[in-house]
Amino acid sequence: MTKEDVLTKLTSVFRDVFDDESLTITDETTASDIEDWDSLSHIDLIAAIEKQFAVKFTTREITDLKNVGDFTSVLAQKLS
Amino acid sequence: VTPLQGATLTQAIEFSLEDIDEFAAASHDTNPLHVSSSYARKTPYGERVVHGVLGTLACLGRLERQPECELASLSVDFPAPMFAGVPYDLKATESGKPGKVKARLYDGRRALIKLSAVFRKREKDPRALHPPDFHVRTDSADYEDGAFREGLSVSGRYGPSPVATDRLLSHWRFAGSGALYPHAAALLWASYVIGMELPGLRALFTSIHLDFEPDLPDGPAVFDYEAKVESYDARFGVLSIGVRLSMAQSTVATGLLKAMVRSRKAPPVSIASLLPASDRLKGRLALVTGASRGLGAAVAESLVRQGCTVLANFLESSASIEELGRRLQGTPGELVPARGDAADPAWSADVRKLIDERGGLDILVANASPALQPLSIEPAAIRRIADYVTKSFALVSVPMAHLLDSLEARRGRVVLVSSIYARTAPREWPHYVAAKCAIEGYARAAAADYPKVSFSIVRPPRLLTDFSDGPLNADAIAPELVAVDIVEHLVEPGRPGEVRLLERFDRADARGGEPNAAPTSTGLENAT
Repeated sequence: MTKEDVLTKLTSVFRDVFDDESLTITDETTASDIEDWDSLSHIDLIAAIEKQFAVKFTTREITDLKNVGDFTSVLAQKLS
Repeated sequence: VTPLQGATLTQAIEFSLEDIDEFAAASHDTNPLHVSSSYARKTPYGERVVHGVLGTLACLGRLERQPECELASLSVDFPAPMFAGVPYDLKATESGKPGKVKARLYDGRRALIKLSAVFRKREKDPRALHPPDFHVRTDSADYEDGAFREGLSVSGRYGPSPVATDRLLSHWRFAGSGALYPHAAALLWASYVIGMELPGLRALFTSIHLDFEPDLPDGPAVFDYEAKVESYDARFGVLSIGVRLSMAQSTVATGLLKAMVRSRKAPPVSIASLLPASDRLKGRLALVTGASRGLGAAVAESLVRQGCTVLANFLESSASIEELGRRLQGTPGELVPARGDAADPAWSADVRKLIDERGGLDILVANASPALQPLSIEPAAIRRIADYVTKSFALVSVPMAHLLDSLEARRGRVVLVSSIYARTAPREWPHYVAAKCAIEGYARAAAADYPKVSFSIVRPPRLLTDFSDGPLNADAIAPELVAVDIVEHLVEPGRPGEVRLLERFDRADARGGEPNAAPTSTGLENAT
């Protein structure tokens, strides 16, 4: 799966978790760009991404996930 | 269904400690995080936390009236804690769908409650009777971590306290909200089951989703309930609990509750094993502020183990300081409790007399610091930022003002406990960063005024203390590791007139500490 494919699939997860069908994300998107992206929804986001991509993040990976680009990189690595 | 009017509604909501007590009496949720000041002081919150469900009832009571409607479902998230005496803003908007309401409770721009309610036309008014009073838990259950497994369940019978519930619902103008008495009772139960039963003592309630059946049965709001763990994510300590409530054999509500389980405090690292007892500081007199716990307690203990006499300042935790004293019996030094507010000039003046009687002060460790919550730089927070900086600065500047000449006379040492965040300045801690930078500046100015005193600014990494003990603080470091390095530094000769910066801590680094790690700020460790 390419990083572009990952981003497309991630966008759909983000829209679902944040209940916003118009939401667009890029690699640079961080929690400060999405009002609802607080640390509680971060957990829901991780759970939703794990379910969607059938992967499991380690605690260290979760700590390092600071923006969407970090998600796409880790996912691309896990899915390659 | 009556369509909702579209106007956005904003209202102020503020809770008092009496409101928390009233809610606890109604719901039977007497989890000590809500009702005990002394317990809450030893958590990252520092003070009693408002029940999330109390916030939910307050929001529902302020939303637009829902005549002839009843609640069909309710979803609420609690991303951050609420406290008494802080003015919050409720903003409610319809979502565009008839019968659906979304509302948020904000502290400035930080959401504390995110609520989504769906209403439907009410077919009948259930005749709600007061439930009889009956036995409920009065002490929160306290499970071992390993107990949280899929399938773990609790069940029983529950009813809120009738008189207190009437008072609560009237206070928060609940009638007419579209949420009926049994709905309110179900929410009170949710608070009770999370705070008292599952997970109980260490619970941080993070979300509710309840679907209510139509045509609620008549009769007393007494529920037979079952709450069963559907999953437990140990990475975050998050429990997902499926729930079912019934009245008179009819299902009233089903849903999912989520709670985080606060980590159990790690056992302290043995200072005796890190630092062999010695007489290297025999004959020296030290004052350590904030010595009843965390880094202050560890520094006081390390100093006493090196023969020092330590005046151990504390404000509330006399039991902790007595325990520390007992632990240090038979060691080369002496621990002398010195109760009082280090920011109070009268206390510093009294301590000064005590110090003069003992011949003067050799070491001051200015460690005391107020409990803190994350804040954003915005108008709603500026008063709290200023208050924090003022209090934090006074805790250091007041004792120094009273004691520096005594330290000067004895060519003494001053250790100011700052933080790595004074350099890294992470977002959402502007008050903490500003206070620590002010303290560091004060030390530099004091060094010019008192050239025979040696100053050290300590910038520890994130420490595992009462203030920072949260679910995502796995990389926080035991304060004992830093304390021992500080005392080793004090054993070495000082450099009068100099201000030395301590940022590397050998023992902490050896244990995998990350001096540059940003704090986990927004809410995991702070969710209600």
